[in-house]
Amino acid sequence: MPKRAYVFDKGLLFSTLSLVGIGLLAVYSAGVGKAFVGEVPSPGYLLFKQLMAFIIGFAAGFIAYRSSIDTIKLLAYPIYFLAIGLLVLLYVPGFGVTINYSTRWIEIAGQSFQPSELAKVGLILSTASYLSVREPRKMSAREVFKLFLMFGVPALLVLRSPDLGSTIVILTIFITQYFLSGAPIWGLIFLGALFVLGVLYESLTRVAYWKDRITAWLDPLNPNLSDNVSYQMVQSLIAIANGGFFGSGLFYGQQKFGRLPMVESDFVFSLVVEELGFVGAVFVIAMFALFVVRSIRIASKSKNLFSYLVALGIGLHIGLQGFINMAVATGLLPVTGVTLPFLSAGGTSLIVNMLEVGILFAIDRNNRQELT
Amino acid sequence: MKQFKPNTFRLGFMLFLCVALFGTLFVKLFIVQFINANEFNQRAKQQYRKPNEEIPATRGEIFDRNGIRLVTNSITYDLVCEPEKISNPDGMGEAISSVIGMESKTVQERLKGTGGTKSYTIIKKNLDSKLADKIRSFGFKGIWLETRFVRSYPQQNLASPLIGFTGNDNHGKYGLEIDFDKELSGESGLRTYPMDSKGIAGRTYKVLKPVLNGKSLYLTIDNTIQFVVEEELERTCREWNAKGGACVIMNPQTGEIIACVSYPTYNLNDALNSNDNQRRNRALNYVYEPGSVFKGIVTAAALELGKIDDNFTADCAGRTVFKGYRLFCNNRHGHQEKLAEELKNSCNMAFMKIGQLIGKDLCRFVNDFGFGKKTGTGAHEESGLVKNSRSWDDVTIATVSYGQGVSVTPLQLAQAYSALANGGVLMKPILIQQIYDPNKGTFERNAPQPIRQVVSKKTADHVLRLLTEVVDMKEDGVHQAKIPGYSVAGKTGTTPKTTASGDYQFSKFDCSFCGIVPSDPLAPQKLVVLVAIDEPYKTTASGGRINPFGSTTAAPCFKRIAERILSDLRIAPKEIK
Repeated sequence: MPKRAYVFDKGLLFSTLSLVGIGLLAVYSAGVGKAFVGEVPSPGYLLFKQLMAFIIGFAAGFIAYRSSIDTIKLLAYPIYFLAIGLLVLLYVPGFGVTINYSTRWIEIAGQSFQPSELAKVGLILSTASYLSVREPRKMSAREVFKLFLMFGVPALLVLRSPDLGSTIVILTIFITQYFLSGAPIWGLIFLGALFVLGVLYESLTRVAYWKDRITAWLDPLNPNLSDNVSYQMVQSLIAIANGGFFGSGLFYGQQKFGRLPMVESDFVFSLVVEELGFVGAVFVIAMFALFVVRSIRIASKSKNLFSYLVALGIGLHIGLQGFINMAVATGLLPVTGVTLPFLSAGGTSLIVNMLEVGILFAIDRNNRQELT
Repeated sequence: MKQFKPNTFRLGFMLFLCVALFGTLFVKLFIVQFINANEFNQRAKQQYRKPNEEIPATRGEIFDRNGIRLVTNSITYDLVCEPEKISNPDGMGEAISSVIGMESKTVQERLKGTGGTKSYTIIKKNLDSKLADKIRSFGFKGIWLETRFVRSYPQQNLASPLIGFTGNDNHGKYGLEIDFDKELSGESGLRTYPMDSKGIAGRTYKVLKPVLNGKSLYLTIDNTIQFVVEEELERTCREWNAKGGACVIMNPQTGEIIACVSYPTYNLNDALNSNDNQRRNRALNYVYEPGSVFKGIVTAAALELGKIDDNFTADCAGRTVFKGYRLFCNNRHGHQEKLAEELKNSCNMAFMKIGQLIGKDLCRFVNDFGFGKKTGTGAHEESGLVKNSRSWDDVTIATVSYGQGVSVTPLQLAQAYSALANGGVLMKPILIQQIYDPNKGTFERNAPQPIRQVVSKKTADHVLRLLTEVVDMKEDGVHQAKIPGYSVAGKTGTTPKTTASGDYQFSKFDCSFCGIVPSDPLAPQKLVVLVAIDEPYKTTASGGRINPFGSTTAAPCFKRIAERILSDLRIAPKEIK
């Protein structure tokens, strides 16, 4: 059997290309709406930025794909520390950009950048690297707490920005990686206790805020709610209900015209449902599911712990973040504010997601090479 | 490093979680899109479109037969403010009050929205364009002018009882304005504006229901003739201190009503200061006993049936007792006359005899001439009162023969006389010549409509000749209705009014005259003019009462009217021989 230069997991490739394709169309559509109400300078503005990010992301992904697992492993800590450095910049006046009371972006030379996205891949890689060089089952308490500290620093920086959605995503990935590596269960109990304490602290210090959010979540049309709490939720549900079975047709949505805030990013799924209908929505959900299934499959074929944990982490990152985003858009979860991987407008997110796909492909290629 | 072996159980658990999560997402999506979709779609509709807005229909206008505007629409302005957007109500109030002539305190209170809504308050309605311009020149914020169409009557008093006026809602309250309200109003449409995310309505709108503007009426009335007749009728009514008067001028060949006059009139632009007497259109709604004028109709019936001829004579003792009723003739001395003289002298006894000769057939003729039912002009009119044919007895026949025991409207009488002038063919009176539909750009014409041949042409011409003799053969001087150069046929009538209990009161009279000019059956164009005066009376210098007659009140009025309008209508006098 001749050795082929490029081997791909076809399912993973199909789901990625489908999601990116739908994403580019959706971002363009959202841009048309936002340009119409004057929120962006021109209809093609968002698409152009997204295409640029796609090209960079494709390059990053391709390089990752062509890299060996060892190189990727070698880059884990540099990426991790770069992410921490950028996260710290969020708290430096002059760099942080505050939108909707959250400081999630930094601006360097006119380009905004979202460090939490880099932190996600950085954590996935460094956690996997940390666990893979040890025997997780036989880790000492000191080693476990060192791992927790490694996770805790960026996690707290993300949480304080504040970005609860991303914190939940990285925490879940971390717990899963920890759990699947076979590390001591007491660490999980410790993390769980910490999580419960955090939730208690959050809910007790911001009772009114969460009461409104939960009410808006359970009953978005409740007339007692102040408008701005339920507004986004209701507008998203209107878009989804408006879609019907086949949707209003690509580019023919109504809600993007200034009604649904963040229609190009956090609520891009609502736009997709409105314009492509139930059919389109189910396709997008199916593609995310396919992505997760294929990454678990790649993980199961892994020949070393690092590949296994990274493949799982990336699959979980894409799948979980996708689930949370779509669950928020459909009202299944209260509004948190995470992007939809591959679809949401946002350069950092797309570049990081493409990089992750590249890594997954690299692992897959590595698995196959070792098989032959 | 030893061979890595993943924990398949834990992987399977993850896979299961993944499927479960995406499964719930699928279910939730389905619920939002198909089970709860309705309430969200409802919400979407609310925010995409402004609540439906009415497109007001323009009310139709009213013109005379020559296209002269009798009723039109004009713009008026309502000054409105939004108190919550006004920063300096005191200063603004001062300035505005000086323009619109309202107390500055009241204006200031409205600008502040004291005790009312803070969002929409009307300061003053019905400002004209000059005042509106002055208000605009201030450039105040938080106030604006709303334009509105209101009725305007350029001819002021002209034909006011006929035309009537509209109420605040721009719908008719009196006269043609209410009788033809459906046509004039049209149907308002509905439109909806797309609304952007800031709640601002777009400039383009979608018409849900197209507006149907009101139709315009072209009357058969001639503006000039109407004016002349109003002037002359008023003169007579004032001279005789009458409660009111009516005049109908009809073209007997077509049934067109050329003038439809009722006195007193009022200024339509100041309609709120009018009273019921002024608003009443006597030409169509005044019901009275025609008296001797009716003898022309009875004569036609008798001639048609061949019961009498020119040589018919009757003895009259001046008074008689008939079935227990005491009846009097105008001439209370005994006399014996031929038919033409009986008509001229209006001998009641002679006509009682004629009535007896006709018998019950008289009822049929009265109905055939159009009495007792509405003529169908479309305007509000009374039907008069003709007894049911089964209850016609000898007394009814006797009294109807000289025009009592039957009640008519001026229009009905003019219509009946028009039949005599039109060779016996009764025409349907036309008041609305045509209706213009602005939505289609079409005219709907009311064509002349013959109802029936009531009597033969021979009979009609015969009656016409007899009635011409009535006007011509005045022995003691010239008949009040005689017009030099024209042949005039006509008959006067004077009837005492009845009290509520049905007794005649010999102090109040209905005096009328119905004339046909020119009365030559061969004349190409004729006019039928009916003048009726309601309760005329005069006192002498010494305070004595002068009893009015049709010949002294309505006939001279007829003459003056006819003299003035005949040339206007290009009806030439006969050749001077």
